[in-house]
Amino acid sequence: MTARGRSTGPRRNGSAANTRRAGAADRGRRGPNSRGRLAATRAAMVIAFLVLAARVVQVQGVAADRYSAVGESQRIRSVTLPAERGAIFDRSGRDLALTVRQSTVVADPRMVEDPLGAAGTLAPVLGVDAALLQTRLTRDLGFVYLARRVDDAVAEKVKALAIPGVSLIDEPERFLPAGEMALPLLGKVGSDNNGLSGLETQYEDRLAGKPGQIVVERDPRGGDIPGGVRRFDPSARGDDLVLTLDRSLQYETERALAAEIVSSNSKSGTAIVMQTRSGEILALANLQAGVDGAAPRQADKNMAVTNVFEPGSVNKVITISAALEEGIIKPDDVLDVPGTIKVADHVFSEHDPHPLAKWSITDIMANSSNVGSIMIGQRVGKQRIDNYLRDYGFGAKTGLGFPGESRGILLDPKKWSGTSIGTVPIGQGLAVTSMQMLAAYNAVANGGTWVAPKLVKATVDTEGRRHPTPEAETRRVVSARTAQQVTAMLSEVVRVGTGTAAAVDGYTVAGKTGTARKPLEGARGYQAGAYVATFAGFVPAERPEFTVIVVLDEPTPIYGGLVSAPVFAQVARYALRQYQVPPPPPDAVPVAAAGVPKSTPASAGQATSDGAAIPVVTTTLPASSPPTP
Amino acid sequence: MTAVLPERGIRPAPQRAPRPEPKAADATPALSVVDPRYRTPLQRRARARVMGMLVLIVVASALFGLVTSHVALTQGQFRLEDMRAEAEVHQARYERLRLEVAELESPGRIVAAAQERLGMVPPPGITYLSPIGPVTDMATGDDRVEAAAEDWSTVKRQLASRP
Repeated sequence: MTARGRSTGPRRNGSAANTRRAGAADRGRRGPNSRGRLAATRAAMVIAFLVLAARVVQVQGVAADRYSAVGESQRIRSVTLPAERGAIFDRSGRDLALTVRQSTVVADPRMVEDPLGAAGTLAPVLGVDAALLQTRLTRDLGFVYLARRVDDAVAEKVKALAIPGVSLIDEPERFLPAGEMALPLLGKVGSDNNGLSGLETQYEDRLAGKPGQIVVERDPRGGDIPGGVRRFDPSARGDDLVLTLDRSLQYETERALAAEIVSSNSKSGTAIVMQTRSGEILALANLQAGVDGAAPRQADKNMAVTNVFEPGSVNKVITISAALEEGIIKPDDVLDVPGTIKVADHVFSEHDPHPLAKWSITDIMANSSNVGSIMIGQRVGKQRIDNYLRDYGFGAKTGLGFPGESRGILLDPKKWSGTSIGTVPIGQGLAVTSMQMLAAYNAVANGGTWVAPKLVKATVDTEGRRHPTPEAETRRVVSARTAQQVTAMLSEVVRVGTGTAAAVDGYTVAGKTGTARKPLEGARGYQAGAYVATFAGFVPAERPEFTVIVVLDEPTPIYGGLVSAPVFAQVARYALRQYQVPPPPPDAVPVAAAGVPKSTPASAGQATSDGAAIPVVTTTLPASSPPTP
Repeated sequence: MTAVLPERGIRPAPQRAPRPEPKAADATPALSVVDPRYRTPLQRRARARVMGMLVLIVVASALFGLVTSHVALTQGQFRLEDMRAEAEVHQARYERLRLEVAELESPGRIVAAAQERLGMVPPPGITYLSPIGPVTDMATGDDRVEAAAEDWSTVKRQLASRP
């Protein structure tokens, strides 16, 4: 086109001859080389355009998704929003465990311009070693933690430093506002706010909630791109748990138990308070002795449902109630109770030998007679004893569903040895948890109806709707009449028997002491000088409101009547006051009126298997203590 | 002779009675009736300019509206973001205050304060007075629980989920 333009010039300005000369000259200048270059240029341009077109097709068509994804990955940021963990309340809605967001110091090492300087500046503020911080700040990563869940003052200082690449994010942290109260029951959470033990684990699904996500499109400097991609899926908060615990009563129970652990030099202790009719657990304390004279501390686990022990004399309630229910004995029956009794090849004796005595069933209960209980157990028979033990809830989980809950140990009657009919009626040769024994006593307190223990009263969802948990399972174990008769006998135990230390002024307490030897671990026989002291009972006996059990491991003195019963009294006294339970009116029908004779004070003049209240108690066992099963 | 009509949109002239043949000597171009909608080229160009201007105005207005709505949307987004951040701050403050209240209410702290600071001691016993006549039910612990639950359900809806 250019050549043609040039060639037309002369034609406009000159003659035809000139035109011809000029055309010849032009042809001479172009020549074959010029035409070749022209063709090559055209070809190069065509090829270039083809390459560009191919690239456009490849970018926009063939690999469009891939490039789009790469672009989005550079612009779009997705942040996971941790779900707030549900709180745990006591029965009155007071916080026992709640989650609060704390600031965590994080960094993007690629944006930190001076890692050494930043580490030196942050180290004293965060209380972290500068070398460690420098190591983290020089990693080839886009995200590192510098200090997790710092307090507000530290967070403010970090913010004021305004170090490029260092920022703060929110992280939830679990708090126990009442300190470590009921910790073995509540459980712990891990660094990622997931339940590790206790109720935190058991109700992990309900408490954890559902994490959310926020997706935003951001520019290279981290600012939001207006109108860019933006999606917000809010996290769903976990449900709250409303426990049956009463925070005040829990505190008082722990305090009383801790004081007794110290004074009796026990290794550990458990105390549980149950609301009689509902089966709701109002307090559950698990403490163990402090190290080197320190104050008792929370146990590592919920011993009340995970640890088993031979119940000893507290088990006599099962034996006697079974005999009463089966009509084998009557409350006013009088037995000739010798000082010893031979069962198979073993001789069982009372704690302190005594001559042949005429004791009523109430006397046998009040004095915690081993021989008398074995005589009654033999009449009941092993199969029926086993049936009643199971009906009272032994050998099976209570239904709490607590992690690690034990079923206890209850042998099949077919596997009983010859001496089992002597040991089982007095609480040896079987093992129960404190919770199982508490539920058994609660059945007596509840007129013969066993009620499953209950720890969770309700859940509260995100919208604040309260969902009560199902009513506790119940089943009748013995008749109301039998329960009333046993209650009357247990009242005598506290009035004149081995459990006088459990008495509460103005109220009638029904309960039973237990002092059981600790079996050897992994071997037959018992540990020398190691005992578990127990008191289980309820109050007021006329119309029970609270059922309580106190178990102390290896106390000194060893007797349940001396170490566990006082804790019962202290806890019961507080519960009665807290729940405004008035004492029975003066004209109320006494419990012992249920056709049950009062225990003779004379019988209390002898020491019993539980250390007896009267008159002198020794702290060492005689050689004639009951044989091992 | 028929009249020359514009190409588009011209209807044939109405039929008239045949005229006598004009004489050759005074042959002059015949007059014809112009369609009232006929526009001269000048008029058509003017009209096109007006139309062009109108289209331009409409397009410009549309673009302006688009930009305005986009700006409003963006401003709304920023405002939403600010409010979300503000809600976060209030939520965090609520959580901290709740923790503080729970800690202040803890039995351990109250007992310590009562005994150490105020010199209080547990009562040695309780004396119950028997009233004469019927007694109305006292509020029990469970009554208080239910009342607390009702209060809680009214506020938790607003506080439970993170903004």
